[in-house]
Amino acid sequence: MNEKINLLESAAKKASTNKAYMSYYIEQYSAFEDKTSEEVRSLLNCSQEDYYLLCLCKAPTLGQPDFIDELNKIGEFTHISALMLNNIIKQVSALEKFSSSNLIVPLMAARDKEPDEENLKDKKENDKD
Amino acid sequence: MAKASDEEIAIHKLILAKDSLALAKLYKLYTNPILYTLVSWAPKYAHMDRALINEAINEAFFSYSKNPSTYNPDKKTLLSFLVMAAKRDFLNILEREKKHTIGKQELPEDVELEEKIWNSSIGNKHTPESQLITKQVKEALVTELALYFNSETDIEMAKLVLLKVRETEKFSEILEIENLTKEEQQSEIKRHKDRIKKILERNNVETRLKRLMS
Repeated sequence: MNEKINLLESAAKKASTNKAYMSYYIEQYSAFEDKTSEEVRSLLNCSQEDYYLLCLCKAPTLGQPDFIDELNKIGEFTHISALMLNNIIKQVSALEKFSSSNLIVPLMAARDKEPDEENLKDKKENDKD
Repeated sequence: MAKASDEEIAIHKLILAKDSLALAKLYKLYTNPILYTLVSWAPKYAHMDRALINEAINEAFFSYSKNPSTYNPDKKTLLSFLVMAAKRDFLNILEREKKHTIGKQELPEDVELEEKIWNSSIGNKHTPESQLITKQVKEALVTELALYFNSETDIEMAKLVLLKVRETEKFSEILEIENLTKEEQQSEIKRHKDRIKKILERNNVETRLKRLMS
């Protein structure tokens, strides 16, 4: 049994570098939530085998018409709540969008200036006068 | 060779259709039998370094999942295809590890895979260790050749070519052309040998086998 789990674990690790697989989302989620794989498995309330088989499933694409159907299909196969899988995929996708540089730049431009920065600007303008 | 079962054809269709559960189902179905086969095939490594065996199996499964058209369900069972691919990948990994360990020391290209080298590997059948080497070298050869040749005849011919066998009788026997005249036999053998040599050269088979046997 251990040999089988070891092989499945190594396969899940291999899949974690590919965004097409659930393994990628589980890995990202674990990292963000600072949880071990054992803790995530406990959260998903599943066996070790089902956990690694989940990692080897292709991740449904957000926004696709069959997203919910695919979630249910994976949930049924792995005996894991489709709702939990939905949360993981959406959380990781949102984090990825948020951390992409295209969104950070406008956020930085829109932020309020620090009081010190304001004072410095005023001082420079007064010096010019 | 046995054809794929209905269950194997079903999973092959899932892989072809890039179904979201395909790879997971492949692992669920084949993890135990392929582990058992690989561990029995290379018991030494099963005890020493199980990671090598796992890596080979993963490589075989992921490669098949990526390029499912490499498998033909009419020719063999999916399990035997995966076992063959995993064995090939295992030998490649082993070769890579070996090269890494000895500091990329290349064998000279002009060294021939002479019959005496082959015999030295398979000749001594007295010790358990030599029997293991014999078994592994033989299997490595068959696994390697099965990648490039579809028929048993071609595989047997390729073995003789690699062993530098020159006797016409042995080739004639494999090709079942003993009833032809001597000249006809030689001409037919030459035609087959040229074709086989081209395939062996193109795929660098001789060098790969020399590395494994060194």
